[in-house]
Amino acid sequence: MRSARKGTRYAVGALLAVTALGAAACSSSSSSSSTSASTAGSASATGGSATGAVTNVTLGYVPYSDDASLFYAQDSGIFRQHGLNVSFVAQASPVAVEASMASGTEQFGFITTPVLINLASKGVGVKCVSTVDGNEPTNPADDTTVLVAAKGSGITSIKDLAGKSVAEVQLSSLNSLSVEVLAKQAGVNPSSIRQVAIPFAQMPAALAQGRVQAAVIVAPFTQTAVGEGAAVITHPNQDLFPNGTLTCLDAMSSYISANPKIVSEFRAAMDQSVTYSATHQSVVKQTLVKGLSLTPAVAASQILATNFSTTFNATSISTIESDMKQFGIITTEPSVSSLVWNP
Amino acid sequence: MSPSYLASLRLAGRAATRVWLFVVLFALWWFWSSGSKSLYFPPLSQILKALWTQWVTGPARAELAASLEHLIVGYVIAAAVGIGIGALLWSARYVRVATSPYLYFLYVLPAPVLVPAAMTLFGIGFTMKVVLIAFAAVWPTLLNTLDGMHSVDQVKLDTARVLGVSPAGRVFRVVLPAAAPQIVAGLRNSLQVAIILMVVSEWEASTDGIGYYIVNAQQSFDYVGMWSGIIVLAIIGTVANLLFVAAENRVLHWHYGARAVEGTR
Amino acid sequence: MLRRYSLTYGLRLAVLAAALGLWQGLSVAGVIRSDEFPSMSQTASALSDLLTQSTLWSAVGQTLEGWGLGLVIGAAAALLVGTFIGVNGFAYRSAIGVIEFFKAIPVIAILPIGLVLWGATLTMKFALVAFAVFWPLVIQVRYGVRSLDPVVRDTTTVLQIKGARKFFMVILPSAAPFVATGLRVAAAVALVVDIITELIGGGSGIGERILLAENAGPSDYPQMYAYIVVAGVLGMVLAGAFAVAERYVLHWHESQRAAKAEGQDRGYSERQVLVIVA
Repeated sequence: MRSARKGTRYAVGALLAVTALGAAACSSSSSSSSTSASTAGSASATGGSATGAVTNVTLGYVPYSDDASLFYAQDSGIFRQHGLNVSFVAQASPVAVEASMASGTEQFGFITTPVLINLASKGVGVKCVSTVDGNEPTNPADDTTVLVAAKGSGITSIKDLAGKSVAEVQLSSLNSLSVEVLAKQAGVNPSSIRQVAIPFAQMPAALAQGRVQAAVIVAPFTQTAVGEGAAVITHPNQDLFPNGTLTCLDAMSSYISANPKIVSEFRAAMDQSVTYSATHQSVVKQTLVKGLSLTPAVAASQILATNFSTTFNATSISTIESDMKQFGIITTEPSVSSLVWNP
Repeated sequence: MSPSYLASLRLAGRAATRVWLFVVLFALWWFWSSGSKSLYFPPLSQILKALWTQWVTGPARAELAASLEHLIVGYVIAAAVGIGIGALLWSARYVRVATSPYLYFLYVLPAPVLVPAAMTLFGIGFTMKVVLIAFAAVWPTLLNTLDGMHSVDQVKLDTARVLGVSPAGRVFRVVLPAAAPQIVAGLRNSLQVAIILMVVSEWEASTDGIGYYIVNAQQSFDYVGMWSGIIVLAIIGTVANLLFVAAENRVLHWHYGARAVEGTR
Repeated sequence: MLRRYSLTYGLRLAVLAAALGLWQGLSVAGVIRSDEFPSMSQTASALSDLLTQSTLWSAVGQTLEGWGLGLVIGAAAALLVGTFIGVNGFAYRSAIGVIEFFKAIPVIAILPIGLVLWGATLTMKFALVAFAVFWPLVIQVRYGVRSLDPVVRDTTTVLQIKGARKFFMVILPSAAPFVATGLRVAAAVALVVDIITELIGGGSGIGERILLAENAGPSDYPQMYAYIVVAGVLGMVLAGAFAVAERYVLHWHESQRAAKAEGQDRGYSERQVLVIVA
C-alpha cells in the first residue's frame, strides 16, 4: 500500500520533470532571434549570414498596427526578392531595440525620432534607413494619436491643462514633448502640467477614475476612452509636425558603412511595400493577424496612421530637434543629414 | 604591545577582510572603464560624480527620500501583517494546506503584471506603491512564521497548557519566542523582497522614487544616471541588511547565546 | 491516508472554484473594470482556444529554455561558491559584502545592460536568470552547509572524519534540505525573471505573447490574461515538481520522515524560505 503510494509520487515527479525538460528541448523556435546570426559581445559591423543568395537579418520592432507594411514585405516575399530574409523580434520599446542593436544581434530596428535624435546627440551613430510605413497623414481621421480629456475634467483646450495631470505612455517621448510644446504655444507653463507615464491599456481606466485629467492615447485604446466619455481635444502630431517623420526603421552607422548593399536592398524593399500598401490597405492589414495576433475582423478595422510616403521629412526632424533642445532634453543638435540615410 | 593596540589591530584586520574584495572589484571597474566612450558603460569616475551631484547633494535626494518612505511603510505593514496572520492561522492547518499551491501562482506573477490591478484599486500614488510592496513582502514573513510556529516543541506547549496558560498566552509567551529565529529569517527575506518591489512599483505610473529615476534614465539614455541609481539601490540593500543583522543580534542574543553553548554559531 | 489526500485536493479545488467564481462575480458586477480586465469566462474561453494552438506550447517551451539554462547555471555556481564560503570563514567574510551588494539589484534595472551585451536572445535570458538566481541561493547554500547539528559535528570530529569524506558524507546530506528549499524558490524566481526579460527586453516566450496581446488592444485582453494565467500555472507546476522531487530525494531525512509520520503536507519547507520577486 505505502510503496504503491510512493511509487505514484515518484512517477508524478518524474513525469513532471521529463515534461518540463521535453518541452524545453523540443521547443520550436518562433520567428525570432534565437536562430538568427548572433555575434557575441561587442557591436559588430557585419551582421547577418548569407545562405546562398539570401542574407538573414534581424529586426527589432515594437508591435503596433503600422508595422503592417513591414510584415507584408517579409510575408509576401518582397524582402526575399531583394536578397533578404528578415526575422522579427518583438520588444517593448525603442530603448530595448537600440540596446539590442548595440549588441550586434539585431541589424535593423524600429525607432522614434526623439530617440534617434537623443542617441545621435550622445555620440551613438544611428541613421534612419527607411520609413516604417510613411509619414504623418494629412487627414486627421487617419491620425491615431490623440490628446483626450477625461469626462468631467472641464478641459476643452490646451490652455485648460495648466495644473492638471496628463498621462503619456513614456515620459521621454514624442508624446510628452508634444504636450510641453503645445502648452508653451498656448501660453501655459509646461512645468505646471504633471506628466505621468501610464501604459496605454491602463489609460481609459485612469481617465474614467479621475486619476489623470488628460492623456495622449492611441488607437485602439482611444475608442475605449471615448466610449467612457473622454473628449478628443486635439491631434498633437498633426498640430506640430504635419506630414512629419516621427518614426522610422534604423540601422547603426557602422553597419551601414560596412553593408551598403544590404541597406539599399532593405530600403528598396520597404519602399516597394509601402507604396503597395497605399493602394492595397486591406491586403496589407491582414498581415497583422499573424504579426499582432489579431482576428481578421479586428485587423481589417485597424487604421494605418500614415501617408505612405517613402521619403523622410527633414524639416520635421529639425523641428523636433529644436524642441528637444529648448526643453533641455538634448544639449547638442546633430545635423539632420547625419540622421538619415538615402540611397 | 598593549592589549588595546592588539585589539584595535585585530578589529582593523577584520574590517579589512570584509572590504578588500570590494576594493579590488571597484579598482578593476575603475580602470577597465576609465577611457570608455561607450554610452552604456561610462567611466566609473563619471558615475561616482553623478552619485555625488545627484544623490548626495542634488535633486535625486527627493527620489531617495520618497522611495525610502514607501519601503519603510510597506515593510512595516508586511512584517506586522505577516506575523499577525501567521499567529492567527498557525492552527488553521486546512487553510494553509488548501492555499499553499496558489501561493506559488502569485509568486511567479511578474510585478509589472500586478501593477494594472494595483493602479485601478489604489490609484497612482503613495498608496499603490505601499500596497504592492506590502503584498509581495508579506509572504516570506508569513510563511516563515507559520513554519516556525509549527515546529515548536510540543513538550513546551503541553507544559504551558498544563500550567494553565491561556491560548493567547501560549501564542505570545511560548510559541512566538520559540519561532523567533525562523520569523527573523523570514523578516530578513521580506526586506529583500520589499526593496525590489520598492523599485518595481515605481517603474510605471510613478512621479517619484528611485525606480522612477532609473526607468527615466534608461529611456532618455542617461546611462550614467542609470548606473548611479543601481549603485544607490545596492547601497540601500547592503545598509538595510547591516541594520537588520545588528537588530537581529540584539533581539535574538538570548537564542544565539544558548546555541553558542552548543557551538553552532 | 486516501481520505486525507482527497480532503487536501478537495479543499484546493474548492479554493480554486471560489477564486474563479469571485473573479467572474466581480467582473459582472463591474468592480473589475471591463475596460482593462477581461472577465473570467472570457479569459477561460481564450485559454481553451490557446491550449489547442501551437503558439502557446512553443511559447512555454521557449520560456522553459531560458528558465532551465539560467537555473542550472545559477544553481551550479551557487552550490560551488556557497559551499566554499560555507567551509571557509575568510572567504565568507570577504565575499558577503559583495554578495549582499549584488543581491539588491533588481533584474529590471539591469535589463538594458543585458540587451547591450547579448541582445534579445536566449543568452540574454539565461544570463539574467542565472544572475537573479545566484545571489540569494549562494547564501542559502551557505546556511545549509553551516547547519550541521552540533552533536553530528562533534561526532565527526571524534571519529576523525575529514576532508572530502566529511564533505560528501556529513556536510552535503546535512545541507541538502536547505539546498532543496533554495532550489524550489530559485525555480520560481527564475520563471519570473525569464518572463520579465521577455516582456520588457524581448526574446520569445510567454512574456512576448503577453506583450503582443497587450499592444493589440482591448480586444486581446482575454488572450493577454490567458497567458498570464499560463505563467502562474507554470510556476505552480514547476514548484510542485521540485517539491515532489525533494520528497523523493530526501525521503531519508528527518524532516521528511517527521512530516510523513504526522501525515502533513509540507507544500513549502519548514526551513528558511528565500523569496525574491523581480
